[in-house]
Amino acid sequence: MNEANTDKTMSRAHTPRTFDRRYFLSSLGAFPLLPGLLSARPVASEKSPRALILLWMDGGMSHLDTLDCKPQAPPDIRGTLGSVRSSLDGVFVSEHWPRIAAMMDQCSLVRSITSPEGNHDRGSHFMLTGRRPSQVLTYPSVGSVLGEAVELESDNPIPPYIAIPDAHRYARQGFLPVASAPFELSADPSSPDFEVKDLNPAPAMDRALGLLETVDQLDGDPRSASEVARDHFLKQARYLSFEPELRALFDLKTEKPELRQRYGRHFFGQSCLLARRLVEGGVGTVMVRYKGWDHHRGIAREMTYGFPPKLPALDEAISALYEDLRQRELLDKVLVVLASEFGRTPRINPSGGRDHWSRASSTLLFGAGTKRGRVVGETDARGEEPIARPVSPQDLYATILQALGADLERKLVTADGRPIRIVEEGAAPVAEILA
Amino acid sequence: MKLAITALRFSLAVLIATASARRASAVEEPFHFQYDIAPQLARAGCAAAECHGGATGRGGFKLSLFATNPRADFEAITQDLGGRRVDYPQPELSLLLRKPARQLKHGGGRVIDLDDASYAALHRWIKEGAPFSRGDSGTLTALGLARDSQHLSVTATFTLPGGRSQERDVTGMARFESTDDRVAAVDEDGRIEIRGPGEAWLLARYGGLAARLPIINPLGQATPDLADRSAAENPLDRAWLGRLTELGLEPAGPAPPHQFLRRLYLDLTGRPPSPDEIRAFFELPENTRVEQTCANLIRGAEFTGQLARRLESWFEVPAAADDLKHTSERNRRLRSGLSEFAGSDRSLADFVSSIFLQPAERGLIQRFSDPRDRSEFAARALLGIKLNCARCHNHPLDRWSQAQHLQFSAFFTDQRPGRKTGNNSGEMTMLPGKFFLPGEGEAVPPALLPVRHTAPAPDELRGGDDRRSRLAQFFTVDAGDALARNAANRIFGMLLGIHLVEAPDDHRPSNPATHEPVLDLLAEKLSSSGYELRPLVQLIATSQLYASSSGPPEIDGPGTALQVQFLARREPRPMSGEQFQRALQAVLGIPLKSSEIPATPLTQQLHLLNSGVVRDALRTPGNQVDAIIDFETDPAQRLEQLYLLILSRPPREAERQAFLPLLSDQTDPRAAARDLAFALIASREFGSIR
Repeated sequence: MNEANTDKTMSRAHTPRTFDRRYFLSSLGAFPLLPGLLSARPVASEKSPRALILLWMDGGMSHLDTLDCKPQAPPDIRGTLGSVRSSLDGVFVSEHWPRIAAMMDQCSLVRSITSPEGNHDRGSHFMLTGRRPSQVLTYPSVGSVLGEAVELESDNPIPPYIAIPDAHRYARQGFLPVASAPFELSADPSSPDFEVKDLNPAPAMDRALGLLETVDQLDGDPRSASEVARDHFLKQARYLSFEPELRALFDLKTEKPELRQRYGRHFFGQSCLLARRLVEGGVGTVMVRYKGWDHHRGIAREMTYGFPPKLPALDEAISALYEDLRQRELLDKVLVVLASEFGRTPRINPSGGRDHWSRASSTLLFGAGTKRGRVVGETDARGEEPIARPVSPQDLYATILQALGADLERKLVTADGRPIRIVEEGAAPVAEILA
Repeated sequence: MKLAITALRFSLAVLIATASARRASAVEEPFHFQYDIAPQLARAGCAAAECHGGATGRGGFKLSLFATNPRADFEAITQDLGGRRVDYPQPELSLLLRKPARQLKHGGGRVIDLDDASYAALHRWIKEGAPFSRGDSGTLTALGLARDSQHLSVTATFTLPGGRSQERDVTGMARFESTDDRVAAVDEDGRIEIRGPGEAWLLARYGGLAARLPIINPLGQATPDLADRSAAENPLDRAWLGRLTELGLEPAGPAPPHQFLRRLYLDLTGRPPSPDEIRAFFELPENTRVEQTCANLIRGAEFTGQLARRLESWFEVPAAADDLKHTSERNRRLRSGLSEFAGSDRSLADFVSSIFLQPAERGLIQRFSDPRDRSEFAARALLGIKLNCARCHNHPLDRWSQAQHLQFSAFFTDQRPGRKTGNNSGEMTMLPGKFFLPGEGEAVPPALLPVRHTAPAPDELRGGDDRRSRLAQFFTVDAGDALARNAANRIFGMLLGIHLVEAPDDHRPSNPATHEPVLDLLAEKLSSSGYELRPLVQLIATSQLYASSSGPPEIDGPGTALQVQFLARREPRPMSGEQFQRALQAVLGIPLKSSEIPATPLTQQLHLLNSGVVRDALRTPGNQVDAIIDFETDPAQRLEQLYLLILSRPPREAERQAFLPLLSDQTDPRAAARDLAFALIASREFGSIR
């Protein structure tokens, strides 16, 4: 399992990847740069599946300072950040989230996520793959699972799973083939010279690229699954580099400045905007990884100071994303999930921060496949533990997959032919929020 | 008086009846839950992972996975739930029978029928008071599997008290499976159905042991005849050709010489051959050029580098590029040790011993703190055995029990201080460590894994005080041919790009080699020649198997996939990002600024097309493409040189026609050559090891 990837290309029992030359004979030849290619696959079309925007707060976002505030709790529990009533009965959110507070009745809130995994890696793995980490297998994350069915379609040039700016270690493809890996932009969309890494063609390469086409044509057909895959990714790379509509997806300058402003001129805001563009353009999953939520010290300051201050940044961007999707009538096609690997300790620690707390955390969802104005579960007066309707990360994972229309009985196959269910046995989707 | 006599007669009758009943049971067969009931549960599927054998069981009833823990299962059945699962006076009312017979709601549906032999067996068992054992069944020591036309029969050999052995037919209690349902399927009664060409191994499991039998359904292609096979000089080829004949497969024939040479160089040195090296190869006498070239390359530093990289992956030491900061120094030392071994002629057995005995190599084991991690690593890396499943339950696929796993791990504890040596130096004698599980008062007694199938005597397994020497001996001697098979498999994989046993850390009965005779041969060669790796590499690299064509067959058909599966034909392999970087550097003859190598195929292609790494390399002074332009003025010659340099072969006619006009164009010949060079480098052919 640790051998260099060159010696794991073909396994005897690796039936699903057996090379089928006839299928791929038809997809070769010159690259037709079709105009209006993307209008064939906008997410709003009848045939298109739903898309997922996963807003991942990396580090463990405190639930007591965001979605599960306890204004009645003693000060060493509720902290120094205030809270306000939201439009959801009985739910208090951060005082720095006025806009989110107003839109809560359009969302589903799960307040009783609970898990024994309080370590960053393990907790993230559990949330992102729906399974506890295992010595035996590396599990694929939700984006790769959703993208797996899309692999190697010759007329689908866009990567099915994109990560901004990069993918968490456990937000990858696991045992699935590397074709299901997230495409990492490796760049900050809010940067004035934002450019997806290696997306811009070098100047004066036309002839060289034309020659490349000829060389490959003269070589004949691809001779193995790996060569077919290479051809596919080269094609995809060329589309991304040259097809104006695809390149335009990544060009935020085409958005109105007021809209860019509304999302917030910072990494998270512009990433949310870019995520909207990408799902509109047919990307199945976009994961925005917002780092820096591991607030062991001075949490109040950490969440409210900085460039940008984190809580206000979320308020701006998430409410903008919601309004934008609503205006574009995409709310029934795009699911947005705000999640983190765990919550944080109810009692403020001596450094003024909160430590890891996986016994209780909250996740917010809105959009495709979910109901509006639903609250599931409740924690005790100190936010320590669910007192009603505990939901495990695997249940949440199953909920997300079901909301997106995935078949929970589907099985994936590992490289040595072992069938693995896409959700853990016993995972129960949270029916209360599923539409 | 009459009443009294009747009563007496009645009680006499009862006495006689019970006496004869007791006599009858005294003559009955000995019985043991493990051999008579547990297999029924496993066979019916009750103990499968999706059902009661899963981590949390089902419906409050938990069995061990595949019923491999008889004690626990016995308790679950007879004692849990207040004993309500079994009804002694009326066995047919037992939950254990009513549920699987679907007389009560059962999530698993109807699993047994009322007239099944398994129903009868369970019924009788409950009626007899559900004993755990009765008499002495002996111990199951071997399992045999035989085929009679379309039926399998399973024979269990028991060693009875007193040393006698007894054979029993357990076909009705065994679980069957096939390693490839496309070739042969087997139903729960052991009936075989041949479905397609190829080879499948049928397995029978009973009482914790497994037995296997190969089924070959030849494809019917033209196979090498006996004369050709015996004429093959390389013993590896003789074994391989024999197998292809058995399987009815036609070998694809040799790869074209230029393609073969490129493949050989990439595998042995990590880079394509230079035009000079190509020329030199074709100048050697045809019948010895492969042997000579292999021998030269294997002696070289570049091969040492390839071997070192393979050892890093084999012994799970991160490559320099992948190293995390906090383990850098330790890993650097480990890499250095592996590199030293790779460059030497040391035997692998010697190296394996030093993993336990020498401070430097011991780091490979010591970097894990938990003894279980250590034992699992050692089993994985040295014997190719996956023990980790046995952490949580008796291994579902192989024969390692949880107890054996723990006892083996106990061997890997650190030493603990004992008494002071008494010479006032402050030194302590060191004692072998003890392995405690959380909450357990007694240390786990250490015991070596019984890798060889015949059960060794208990003393042989117990370690003395010198655990390290004992472990060194275990891995190099006691474990039989496991080390040789594992090493031979890995070396094979290094050259062929695919192992005979895949995954290489997963040797087990239900995971046979693609070609058992070939693995046997390679393992034997390795162990009989002192475990030196280089002679084995030479043997494989000079074989017809290695040199087989990977090109598309003239007529494609279902046979092609089988040819590939059984190595009658090879398949192109992709270069990794790292290999590509190394190949590019070698081809252009200039060092590339080490940039981050993209991880995914899409980002690799984007990087290739757009990052400018190739373009900049082609503009770096002194690169080989510029050298061609500088020293060769004739466009046809330039074309020839560019192809030899980059693709390691001369251009074909169609390629000459396509590109000669470009190179003949006088406007900017340097730019033209560079553009063509770029195209050749980015081509499908360059990035593929064919």
